[in-house]
Amino acid sequence: MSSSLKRAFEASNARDFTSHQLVNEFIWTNSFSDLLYSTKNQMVLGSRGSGKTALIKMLSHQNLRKLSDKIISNADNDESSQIDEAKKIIKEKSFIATYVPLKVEWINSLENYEGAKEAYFTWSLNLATCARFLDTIISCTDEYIEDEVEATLMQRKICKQLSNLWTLPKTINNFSEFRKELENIEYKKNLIFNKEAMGIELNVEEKTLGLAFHGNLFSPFTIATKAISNYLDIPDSSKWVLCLDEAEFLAEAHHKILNTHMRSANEIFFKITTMPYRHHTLSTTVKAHINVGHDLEYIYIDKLGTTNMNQTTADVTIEKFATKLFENRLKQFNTIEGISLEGLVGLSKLSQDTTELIDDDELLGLIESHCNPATKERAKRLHATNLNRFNDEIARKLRGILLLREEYHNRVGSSSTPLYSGTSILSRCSDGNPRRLFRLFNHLLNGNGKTTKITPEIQSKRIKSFSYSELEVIKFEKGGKMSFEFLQMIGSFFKERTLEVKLGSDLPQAIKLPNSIEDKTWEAIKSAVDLGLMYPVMKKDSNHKNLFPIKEGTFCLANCLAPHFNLFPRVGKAIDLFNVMSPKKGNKQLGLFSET
Amino acid sequence: MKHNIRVNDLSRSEFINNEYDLVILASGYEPRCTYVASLLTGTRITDPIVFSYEESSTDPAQIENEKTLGDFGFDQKLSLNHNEVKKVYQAIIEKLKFIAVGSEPYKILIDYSSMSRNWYAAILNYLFNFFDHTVEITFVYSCAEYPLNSGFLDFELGDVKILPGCQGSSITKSKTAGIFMLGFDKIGPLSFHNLLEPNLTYGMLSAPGSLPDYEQQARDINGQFIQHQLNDGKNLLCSPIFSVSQTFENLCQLIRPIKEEYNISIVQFGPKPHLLASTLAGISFKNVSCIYSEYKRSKSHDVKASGELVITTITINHNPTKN
Repeated sequence: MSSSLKRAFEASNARDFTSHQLVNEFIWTNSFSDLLYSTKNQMVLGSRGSGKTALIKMLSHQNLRKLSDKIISNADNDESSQIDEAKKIIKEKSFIATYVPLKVEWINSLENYEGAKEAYFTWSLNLATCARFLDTIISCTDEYIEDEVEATLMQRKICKQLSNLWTLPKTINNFSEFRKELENIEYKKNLIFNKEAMGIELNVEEKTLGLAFHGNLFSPFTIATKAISNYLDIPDSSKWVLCLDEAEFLAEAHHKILNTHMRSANEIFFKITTMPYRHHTLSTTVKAHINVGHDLEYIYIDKLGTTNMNQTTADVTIEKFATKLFENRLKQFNTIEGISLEGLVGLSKLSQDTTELIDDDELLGLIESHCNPATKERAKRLHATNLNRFNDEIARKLRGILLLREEYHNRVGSSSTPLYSGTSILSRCSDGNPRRLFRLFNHLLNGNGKTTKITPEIQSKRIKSFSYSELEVIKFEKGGKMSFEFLQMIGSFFKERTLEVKLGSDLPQAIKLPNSIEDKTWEAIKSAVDLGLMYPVMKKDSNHKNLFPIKEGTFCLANCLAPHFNLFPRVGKAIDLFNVMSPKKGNKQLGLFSET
Repeated sequence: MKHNIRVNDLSRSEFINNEYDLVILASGYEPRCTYVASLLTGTRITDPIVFSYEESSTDPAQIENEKTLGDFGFDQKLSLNHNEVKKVYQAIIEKLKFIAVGSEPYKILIDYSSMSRNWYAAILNYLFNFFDHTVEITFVYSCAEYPLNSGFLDFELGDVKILPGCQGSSITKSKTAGIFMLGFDKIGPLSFHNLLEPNLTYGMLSAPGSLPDYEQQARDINGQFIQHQLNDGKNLLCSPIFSVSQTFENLCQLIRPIKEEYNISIVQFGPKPHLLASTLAGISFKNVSCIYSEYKRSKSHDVKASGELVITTITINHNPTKN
């Protein structure tokens, strides 16, 4: 059983998942409801692994339809009502989405067609949307036409009509041939684009191949939606949606084109995913900019969309999600039974807000050993005069940090800390990033024996190894060395302030940036945010659909890095970046980047 | 496969004793870029051309190499940027425009030891897809001992590129398979795995390598990737550096069973003969893409020829019924 338990968490990417697996493991979040019910174009911003692909893949008609058919136990009321919602949408044909991944292979091949880049982009994106629209059409015919003979005849009618609308070289009468023909067109057209790039003249046949896809961007898709509406009695009120995944691969010029369409298109809606700082521009190809809030809204899904919530609500949301994700994955394996996340890892000592783990006397002893004189005096005073304020202003904030610090200073030899353990710490260290959670589960179960419980010491050891591997990932990115050095620098600074300098009641664990920061520092921070190793700190209850800091703002270190730097996984007080780069204590004058 | 092609390995003496209609060399800062030219002093060559890296045109090592090539009779130079394929197309079309119809296969020799992969991919793209006559291209690679301990591996990944003529069918195929050609780069394959997120992953490693310990070094450097992405090595294939034909055949065997279902992205790290084999796969299969990252190195390195050669002949027959 243990080996299948370990194997259960090896795959973590929504792109790898079969439709069936995606539907079974999907967790309906507030962001998903936002995407489903908004009447606006939306851009989903999220770091790598935050679940962008899973979200917009699930919006597609074929996946929403599978979700509407999902059978669950009656015990889960939330999920049951979500499935009813999906059923309603599918039945009423009110939201019909097509998922289109923007793949790096064809986006980057644009560079090979100097002089025809824009034409190739339009042509390719039109072909991509039409090729994926076939998935939607198949799902719709399967859902809305029950009779097999009627469905076959409808398939024939639709294919013939689309052959005509998309000016295919021949008329096709079934979906599988249709796919093959589009593949042929892609191959032949690639040759033609190459031929043009060589300066060789094209013949008439070559000039007219795939001509329909040379028209206005998204026109072949829009025209096809109208044809399908007629055939399948889809009402005018239905929303036809294009879900474009991974727009971070696109260049600024392409984003301008997409912005222009979002600003003017009224027949289709767009849901586009990209990394937080990879919506390159708000410009369009006309004079006006796209208006955020009107033509487009942002959905920021990092930390499960909790960045503008208070810490306690955010922690509860993320922990609930982590537990559900763990359960959903194990449900896919018939051989694994009777294991819960809490059963496997237990509770977290570090984040328990209770005097059961450490009583007030012990706490006051730790404050005496580790805090600065002002905090010691304040703690004593509040403890004597107002216990509520003592708990709120001192104990709640410092308990976990003091435990970490005490353990750090008293560790002997190669003994391991037991503190990075338990459901609460584990879910905090995932930052609510599903792919990170799977990696964390995978690390936790690495080399696990036959036991169904992992000791806190082993958990801590494995979470620390996970933590460092999360940091190392950034080195693999273009320009990632700079971000790596930056994170090392601020992580080491926070470590020193947490473990060595005498503590005050507000420990810094976030940075405040001035608008004047150097471009290369800003680039390093943007990369870290894009990869989910730093997060912008939003104002509580702010409208996070509009706000996103550009340079000036507050950013915190991802919780996943806390075990590596021996920190308590929390946001903490913000400190000016200048103070991090020029620390007062010691002689560690930190240059931001090594000379290159 | 799109074309009728044959890939054969060739001996050193066959290569030297052949006659060539066109010889294409590349001049850069590596000392080894003159080695193949030094072997051709007695070989009959109708038309030579040297592609020279514009970006390092003032590098004293490159200037010295160009002087040496000139002394060997290779004095017709085309200066171009490493990713400038338009000039390559123009040059090759110009060279081949007066070829007589129905003559013997046109024979080209390309020394790709120091050549940009864009340049030889562009040449292959033209010859495979748009040149009407049978052509025999001899590719020569001069092995080298890499200065692995002198900062040679200290580089950063740059822009992601797709080789000309190797776009594959990534638009219409919804699934992706990745074949990672592994070399001495620890971070590159992991970075590309993150980028492509393939549904299926294979790896290929040079075994044996050009020096006895290179295979183990490559295994050590790629240990993490082999363990996590290649299923503890179960999805890793080994292929010798000295045989492009065998590597190409191995790639074909990986590609054929999955090509209907997947667009296959070959991620190009690894030794140049492996890259040539994968470029051939990219050009000859319609749904294979070749993807790579440019490197940013802070300084040039002294890559000297070891004397060993990898020689490959690729015959492209556009009209097989006539032969």
